[in-house]
Amino acid sequence: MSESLIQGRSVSWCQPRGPLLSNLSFEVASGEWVSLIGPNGAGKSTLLQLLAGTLGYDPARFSGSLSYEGTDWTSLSQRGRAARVAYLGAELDSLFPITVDEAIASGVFASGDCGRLEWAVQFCELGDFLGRELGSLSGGERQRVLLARGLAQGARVLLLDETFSKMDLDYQFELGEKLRGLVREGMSVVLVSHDPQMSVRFADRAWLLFEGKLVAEGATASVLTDELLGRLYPRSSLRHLFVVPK
Amino acid sequence: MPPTPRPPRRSPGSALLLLLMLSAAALVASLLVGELSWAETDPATLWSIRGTRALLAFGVGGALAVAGMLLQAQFSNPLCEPYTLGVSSGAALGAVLSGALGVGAVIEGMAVGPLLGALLFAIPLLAIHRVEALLLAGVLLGLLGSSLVALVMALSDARGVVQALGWLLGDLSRATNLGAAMVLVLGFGVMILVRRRHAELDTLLMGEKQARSVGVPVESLRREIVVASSLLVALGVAFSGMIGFVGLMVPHAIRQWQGAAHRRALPLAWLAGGIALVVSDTVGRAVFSPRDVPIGVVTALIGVPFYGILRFMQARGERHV
Repeated sequence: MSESLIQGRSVSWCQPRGPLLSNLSFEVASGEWVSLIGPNGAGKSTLLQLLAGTLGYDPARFSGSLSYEGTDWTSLSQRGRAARVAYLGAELDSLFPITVDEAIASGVFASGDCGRLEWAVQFCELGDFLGRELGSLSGGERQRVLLARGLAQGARVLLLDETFSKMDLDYQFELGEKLRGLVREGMSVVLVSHDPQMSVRFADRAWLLFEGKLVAEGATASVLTDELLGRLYPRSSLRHLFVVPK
Repeated sequence: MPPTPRPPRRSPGSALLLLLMLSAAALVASLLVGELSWAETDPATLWSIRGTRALLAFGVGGALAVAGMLLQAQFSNPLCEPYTLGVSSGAALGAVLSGALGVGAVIEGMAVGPLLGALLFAIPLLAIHRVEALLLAGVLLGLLGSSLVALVMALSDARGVVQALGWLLGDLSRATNLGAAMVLVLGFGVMILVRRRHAELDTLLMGEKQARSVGVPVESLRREIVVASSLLVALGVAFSGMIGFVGLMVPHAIRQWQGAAHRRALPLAWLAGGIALVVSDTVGRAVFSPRDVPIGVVTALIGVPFYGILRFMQARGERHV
């Protein structure tokens, strides 16, 4: 069993209108890919942002415990957290003339280490885009810039919140395979995606989130069962898209 | 289709050198233009009229351009300007109110009333944690200040109204040596201090959420931006009234010319803001002499077509790459 990197115990998060996450306990191990699945409003993005620390840990809203390699995660500075965990959403844009280079370089703010910049650019195949303004890129290209920025961050954990959603299939699977290679070398990935094939193809484990509760977790094939998917997506006949290898 | 490369930007060193030379040229031109000639007038008298005014114009232009650049980054919005936070309305209220009460807005060369007004309006902003709430509070404070200024004007006599209009449309004729020195030194100092956080400011241009995710301590950065921009705006308004356009358009022009990275954009904006205001004042004096037209009117009259031509040339240049 790989070492545990992130541990959450009885984690809850409340919004003014009520609890958004209720009593979640989970672990992310070194060198594993976790797929976080659930319908809209289940709390997936909130959970990722809570893991990244970008929502803060206001005691009026947050309860439970979060640790990273045994250290209290909430006591670290935002900069300290960003050096260990990189959170990437689905959108990267700016109304200002920011170039692709500048956007990727912003990833090294926490570590101050520029050594991974060139590698991150090559990893996401962005060499031809250097010097161009972010606003002139398509949505999928901007997502590749976002991924490069996250890789440049040098963190051991990547939290990907629908970061592949606008990429074409070629890039989704090519970059997915490359990330899978990094996971084999010890990186950890938690991916929120509404594309079932991404989970089936790349994830070691899956978490199913429903109405703020973790209703199932385990090996991907054991979690993505007809019964559970039927509970999550009762109106849909798309469950057959989850081609789970037997 | 292969991506089109962006046209290369002028190197930061040469851009800085160019603006330094333009600054010197603008200041010299400002000293030479006017009704009185140097040959027929006591140089000390002429310096006290034009030199002090030119230095104040340079300092105020630089301060407003830097404040505009900071607030545009803070709100990730290029439409923000130095007056977005409403501190300027506090300064204008302080000036108009102290004039109406017969205290005088400027005492011994110090714009006490406007500075106190700006301070009073800036303090509540420091207690606000969320960026949306900060923007809303700034707009509301601005409206409150403007309404109170209008109320004071409505209750004043004709002389009071004319004085108040001077604060609202910008007026460099009240320049004092102390005021010019304060605006120049403090404005430059604040720009240098804030520039040390250039990497954090850069991340804000992609939104506060992105800044947080790369580890930027957004709350402390926001407090620093509020304090710095409030001080810059208070200084500008306190000694010359409210001058529009410079703080909105100079940051745009600098970013389009030299890119968005604050490390080089902030010093360039300070210089370009100074040049813009000195040139506007000189042109205003040359064209409308002997009348002293409010400087805020001249900046807009010159700046709008200038910026339009700049964007047109840039768009044409990009089409030809």
